[in-house]
Amino acid sequence: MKTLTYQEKVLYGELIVVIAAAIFYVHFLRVAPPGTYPIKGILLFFALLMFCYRSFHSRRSGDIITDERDTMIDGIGAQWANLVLAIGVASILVMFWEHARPVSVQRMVDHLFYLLMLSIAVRIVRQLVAYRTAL
Amino acid sequence: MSAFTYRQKALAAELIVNVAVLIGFLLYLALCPGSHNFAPLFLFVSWYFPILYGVLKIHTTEDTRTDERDRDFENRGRRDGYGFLSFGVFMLIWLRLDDPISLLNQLLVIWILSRLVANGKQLRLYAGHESWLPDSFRASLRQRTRRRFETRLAEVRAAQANLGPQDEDGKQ
Repeated sequence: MKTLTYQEKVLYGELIVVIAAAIFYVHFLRVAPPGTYPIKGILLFFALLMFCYRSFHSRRSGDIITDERDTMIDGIGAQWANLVLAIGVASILVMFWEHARPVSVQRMVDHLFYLLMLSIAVRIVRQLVAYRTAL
Repeated sequence: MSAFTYRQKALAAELIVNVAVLIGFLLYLALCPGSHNFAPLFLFVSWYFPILYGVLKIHTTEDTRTDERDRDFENRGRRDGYGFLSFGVFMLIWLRLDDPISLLNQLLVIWILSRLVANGKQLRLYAGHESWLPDSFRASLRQRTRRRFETRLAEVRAAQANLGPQDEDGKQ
């Protein structure tokens, strides 16, 4: 753990949050009847936690420096995540449009949620791999 | 336009096609409400146009090689596109629309817009700008960050300078 850089620690933290969010959604929120769970609050909480932590922490401390390699790794991770998300969204569109009348909104929202979590996980894992390999 | 490189021309063509696809889809929605059997066609055109452009320009005399700069711009453009797409998908989950057809339509619009964002960012980078923000604003942000670091560095140096003479006094 001591050999991890700050960026890697943040990425591991984000990965844990993503896994926790997916497990929480599958076990508690998805099976509950619609309107009886605070899905909006939970989603907003996790999104804000994930997307604001890094920038907030770096601004607050003022001594975290990112270089060209960090930017490049960030771009590589985003490229993979973008590919996964774009293919997934295109697949969902074609798959549901093929039926002309989609089954339910809940099913589509489930697919979109899993896809979003998958793309975030792919981005994090790809960045973690890139930090440990030569670019 | 003649001053554009091959990459810029390809990006500009892709941007124009995506704008045309978006306008065409919105017109199609306005003129034909209800179920849309031709909707995947817009997705197909937007997805395959870059490949088609590359195939049509396969015998071009222009320099089609890519270097580190091109890959960097591509990554930065896709990062912005991914940010837009993920935010749009999150907003769709957040809103939880009742009508599935409406959800699909909005998903396609977000998908095309994310491609527009990626293309636009790359074109802006090729034009010499740093990001979507104005260059003067970016320069002021950078200057502020540099000033903060310099302040912290000065504090550290001052602390070290205060320790130094004491140590020397102790030695004397």
